[in-house]
Amino acid sequence: MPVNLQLDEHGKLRHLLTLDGLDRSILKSILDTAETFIDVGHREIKKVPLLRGRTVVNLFFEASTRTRTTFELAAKRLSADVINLSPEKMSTSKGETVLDTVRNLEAMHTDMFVVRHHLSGTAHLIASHVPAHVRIINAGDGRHAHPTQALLDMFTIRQHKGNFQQLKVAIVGDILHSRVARSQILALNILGCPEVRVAGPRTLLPTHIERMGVRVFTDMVEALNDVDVVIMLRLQYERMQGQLIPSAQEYFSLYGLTPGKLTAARSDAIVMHPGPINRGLEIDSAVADGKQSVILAQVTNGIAVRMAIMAQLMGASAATGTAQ
Amino acid sequence: MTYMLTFSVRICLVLNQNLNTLNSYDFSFLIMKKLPTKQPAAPVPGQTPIPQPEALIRQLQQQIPPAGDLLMIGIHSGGVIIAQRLHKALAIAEPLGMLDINFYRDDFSQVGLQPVIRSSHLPWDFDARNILLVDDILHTGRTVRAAMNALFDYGRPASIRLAVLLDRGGRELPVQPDYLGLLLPLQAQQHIKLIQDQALYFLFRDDPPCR
Repeated sequence: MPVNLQLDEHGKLRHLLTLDGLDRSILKSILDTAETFIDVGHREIKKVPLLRGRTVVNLFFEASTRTRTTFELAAKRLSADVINLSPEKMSTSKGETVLDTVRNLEAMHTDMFVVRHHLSGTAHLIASHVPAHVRIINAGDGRHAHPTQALLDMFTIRQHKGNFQQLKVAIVGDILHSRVARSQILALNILGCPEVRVAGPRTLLPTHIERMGVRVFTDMVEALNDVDVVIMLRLQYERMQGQLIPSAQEYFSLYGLTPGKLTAARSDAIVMHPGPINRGLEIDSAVADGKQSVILAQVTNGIAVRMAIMAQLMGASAATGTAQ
Repeated sequence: MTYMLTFSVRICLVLNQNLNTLNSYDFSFLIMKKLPTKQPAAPVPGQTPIPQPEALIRQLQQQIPPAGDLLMIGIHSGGVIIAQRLHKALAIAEPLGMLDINFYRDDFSQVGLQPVIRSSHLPWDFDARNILLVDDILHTGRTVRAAMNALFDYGRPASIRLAVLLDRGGRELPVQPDYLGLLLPLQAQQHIKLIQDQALYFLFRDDPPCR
C-alpha cells in the first residue's frame, strides 16, 4: 500500500493512517492547530462550527473507551454529527465484510470514518476503497500504528518540554504488541528528537527494532538514566500468545515504574502512559498519581489534537473541491 | 446618483489633499464647486498617495467616547495591531482582548483551515458588558460576522460596537462601522493590506482585470 495514499496532489493530508512518510511540517502544523483548540475546551460553550453538517462515524471493531470518547468529543466540539459503532453493534458479526460495512455507511452520506481494528492495515484498506471526499483516520490497527495517540503524546511532550531538539525519551514495556510505541518512535524521529530508547524484556522487544532508530535496553534503570520523558506501555495480555513474561510480580519488579526507578531519570522528567494503566503491573500508583505524571494531561490534550486532525483533513477535503 | 457623487468627492479630497478627517466635516457644500470633470473612482498606484495608518489611528481615537468600563477586542492579526495602539492611547483600564475568527469563517468548505491560527485571548467575563470590536480593514463584512458569532460562544455582551481603520467598501453583509478612520472605496481587483514591520503602512496592489 503506498504511503502517499494519505496525501492529496498538493501534499496535504487527506487521511491519517500512519506517521510513516509524513514530514515535520505536517506534524508541526497539527500540533500548532491543536494549540488553538485547547482554548475551546476551557470555554463555557465548547463548540466551534467548523464541521457543522458533516457526519463522522466512529467505526471501532475493537473495544476502546478513551480513544473513542475523545474522538467523539472532538467531533462534537467541531459541531459534527457523530455515530458510534462498536463490535457488538456491527453486522460484521453477522458475516458482513469490513468494506461492505463501510460502503453501507457511505451510502448514508457520511464524511469521515475513525477506524480501529485488531488487524494491521485495515484503515489503509478502507482508505483505498472510499470515494475521494471521504476521510479516514486510523485509531489503531493491530500492532501497526496509532498515529493520533502518538501526536497527542508529542503535543504533551512539547507542552512540558518546549521542543524535541535536546530530549532523551525512554519507552518502556510491551514494545512488541504496541502500535503506540511504533507511532511514537516515528513521531519522535520526524520531530528531531536526538535520542529515543526502548526498554523491556527480550520477549517483548520486536526483533530489529533498532532499525527504527532507537537504542535498545533490557535494563530499565539504565534506559531511564538521564531521560527527560518516560513513556510506560501497558502489558497487552489480550494480544499475547504463549508465555512471554514469567509472572506479573516479576515483571513489575524488573519493568514496573516505581518512585525508586524514576530517580534514574532527570528530576524534571515527565511520566506518560497511553492508558489504560495497570497499577502495580507496569506502574506504581505513587508514580501514576505523582507530580511528574502527565497521564491525565494526555487525555485532555487528546481532544484538542483530534480536533486539529479532523479539521485539517476535512478542510483539505473541502479545499480540493472533491465533495460531491 | 448623489451617493456616487459624494463618494467621488470624498475620494478626491482624500487623495489629492491627504485629508483624513472626513467624519468630522460635512463636505456636501463642496459637491458643486470641487467636483472635477473626471476623477478616478479609486486610487491608481503611482499617482495617488496611500493613506498613513498612524494618522488614521489618531482620527479613529478621537471618535471613540471615553468609557471606563469598555472592553476592547482586536481581531487577529491586523485588528490587534490597531487595537493595541488605541488601547494604549485611550488608557483603557481593562486588558485588551484578542480574537481569532478562523474557526468561524464561512469559507472553510471552500478553502479549509488557514495555515496560521492564533489563540483567542479574552481575559474577562463579558456578560452584560460593552464591547468595542476593532479591525484594520472592513471589506465584505464576513470577518465581523464571524467575530460576532465567536463572541457569542464566550458570553452575552450588552452591546458590540465596531471600530475600523479603513473601510474599502464592497460589503456583502449588512455590517457598518460605528467609528471609522477613513472611507476609501476600492474596486474588486484592488487590494489593500496593513503591514507592520519597522513602520506601520498599507500595501496597495492593483491586479489587472482578468481576461
